[in-house]
Amino acid sequence: MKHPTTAASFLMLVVLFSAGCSTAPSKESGQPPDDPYYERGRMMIDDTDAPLEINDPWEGFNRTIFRFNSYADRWVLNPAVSVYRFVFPGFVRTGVSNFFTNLDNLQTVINEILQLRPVPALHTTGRLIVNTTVGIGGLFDVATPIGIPQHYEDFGQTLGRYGVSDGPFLMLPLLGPSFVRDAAGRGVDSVIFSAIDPLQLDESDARTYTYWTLLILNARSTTSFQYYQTGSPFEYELVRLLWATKRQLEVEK
Amino acid sequence: MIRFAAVLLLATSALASAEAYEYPYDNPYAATVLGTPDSVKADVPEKIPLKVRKLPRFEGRQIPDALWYGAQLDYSYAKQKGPAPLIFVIAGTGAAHNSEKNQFLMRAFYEAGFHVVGITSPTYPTFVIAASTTMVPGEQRGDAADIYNVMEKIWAEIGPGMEVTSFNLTGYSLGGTNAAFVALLDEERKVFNFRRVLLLNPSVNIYNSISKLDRYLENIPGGVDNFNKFFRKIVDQIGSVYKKSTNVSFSPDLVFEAFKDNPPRDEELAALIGVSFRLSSSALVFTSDVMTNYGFIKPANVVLTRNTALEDYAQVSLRVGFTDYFHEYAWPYFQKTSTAKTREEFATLQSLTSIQDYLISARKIGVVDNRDDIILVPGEIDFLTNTFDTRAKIFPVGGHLGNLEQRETAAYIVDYFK
Repeated sequence: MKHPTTAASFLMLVVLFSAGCSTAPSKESGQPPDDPYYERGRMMIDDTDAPLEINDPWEGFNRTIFRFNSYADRWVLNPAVSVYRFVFPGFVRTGVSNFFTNLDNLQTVINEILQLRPVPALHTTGRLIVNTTVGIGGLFDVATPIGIPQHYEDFGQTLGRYGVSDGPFLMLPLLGPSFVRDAAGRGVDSVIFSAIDPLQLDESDARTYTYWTLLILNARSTTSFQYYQTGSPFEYELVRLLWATKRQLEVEK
Repeated sequence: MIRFAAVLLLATSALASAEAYEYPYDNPYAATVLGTPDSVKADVPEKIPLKVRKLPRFEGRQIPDALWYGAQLDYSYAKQKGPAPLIFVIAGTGAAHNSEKNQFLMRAFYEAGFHVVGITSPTYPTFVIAASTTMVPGEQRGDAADIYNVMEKIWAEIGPGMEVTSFNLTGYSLGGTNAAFVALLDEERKVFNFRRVLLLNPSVNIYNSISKLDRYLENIPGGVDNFNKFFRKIVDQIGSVYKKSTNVSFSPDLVFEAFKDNPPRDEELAALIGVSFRLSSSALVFTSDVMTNYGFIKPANVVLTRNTALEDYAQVSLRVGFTDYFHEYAWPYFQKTSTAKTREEFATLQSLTSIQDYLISARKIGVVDNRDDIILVPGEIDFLTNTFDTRAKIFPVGGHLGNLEQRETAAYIVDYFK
């Protein structure tokens, strides 16, 4: 599986077939629901606008993926990250993280150009050049100490900047929260990446496997979020709200 | 650095209220929200060999599908190599064994040579699901018994590999109140025979504290119905800083930066504190309701699946305060079994004043608090000094636990157990 899309679509299929997707609660035979002590209609004015309301027509599916991701974390990714942290000392992991941040700048600069934003694009180009050369292929971050700012842009943000709305909320297998626009954006970003193929992954299987292994380990090890650690029964709702807020800010930036 | 700058700007009106005690915020709301700035933080290692383990399932407990993830209670511990005293640390309202404050305390005690064990608050949803006998938290004697059982189970798991010279106990906020009742229970059960116990910013009277915390939400301009506007305003404030900044990522530092540019007014800080406690209470109330199937928020004849959309329940739960929970849920539940005849009596039983005689006589128990603690009502600091006398350490400022990580505070806490 050389291409990420193959792996992702395979997973998506597995999950789809193993998922019950209804968000409706099951009720005891045929009765209407009882009135709870506190009922929504009595507690809230109808037109109160509430921050938790986010467009999520596929919530049943999304919740299934949310759970799937927590299992993937528990049984595969977290143990793998533990091994990664045990085997590689901190400075090596920092190098790996720097390497991928530098590589991401390729995607960032492309999207900055697509968004017609010359100044950030210059920053990012500067970072790419300095860190790839002086920083030995991106392993060292030389650009930050000399004051070149780090940005982050993706094709989802580019679409957002041109007025494409985020669309329905979508939990992606392994990748976590997203929106339809941003998921499509990811697809475009990865097609562009494969077309440029800056690491010439096409030429070596060994290189491809190493790349993907390190990419996944680095991504998981630099993300502090852990599923079901808030303790809240509304964790899914909270994650959805915070993610929507984060993306809104990133697009506006 | 950002943090430090934010602190400097926010602290423009700060006064040094005591010579030896350096803490920048004399505003208890700012202290509670912002905590301890790096400049006056205790020097405690960043990492200790902390392990997280799961306790076995609660015997005979049926767990509803929607709460599947809470079937087992976690705890954390770190073990010294040789013989050492052990200290249990109980987390505060809605917080788990590895909450930031619990972790800080565990790091400080471990560094000072203690075995440490982190205990989740009985008000944390997973505790309600997997460790609470009644599944209705808040009744102090019952909660203490549940915590005691959890401690015994943990000890059964980790004890065989540990050399322990004495057992000790601490807890912060509601965990401090819990610690007092657990110490009382220990006099009877005598499993641990605690050598020393320290209550950190405990709630003196839980009903007084929850009334105050509920009222903080009234500081949302226009009331709770306008929560969304308030939320957007906070987000916009953070967003405006984010848009201007060149280098800041979407992280907690951003919040400090936002405060620096536009220091929030007292009312906004109070509202933020109210919101954070309401997030805890909403999780607790809904979890308890689903467990008991009382029909408080979820209709009793509705069965939730793993995929049920919970947004409507979340909206309602966020409207239900701690005091609503007390009056309309907990008191009706305990009315049948409690020795209290009235609601007022029941409320009084959930306070340190109800065990004052014990607290006066138990020389091993001490307290640390701040004169401006925002969960206390007038007179409660006096209660603490009268009850604990020389075993009470009251700092002039710090709000509710804002100064926990401050040098002198942390040193006093650790030294108390030496």
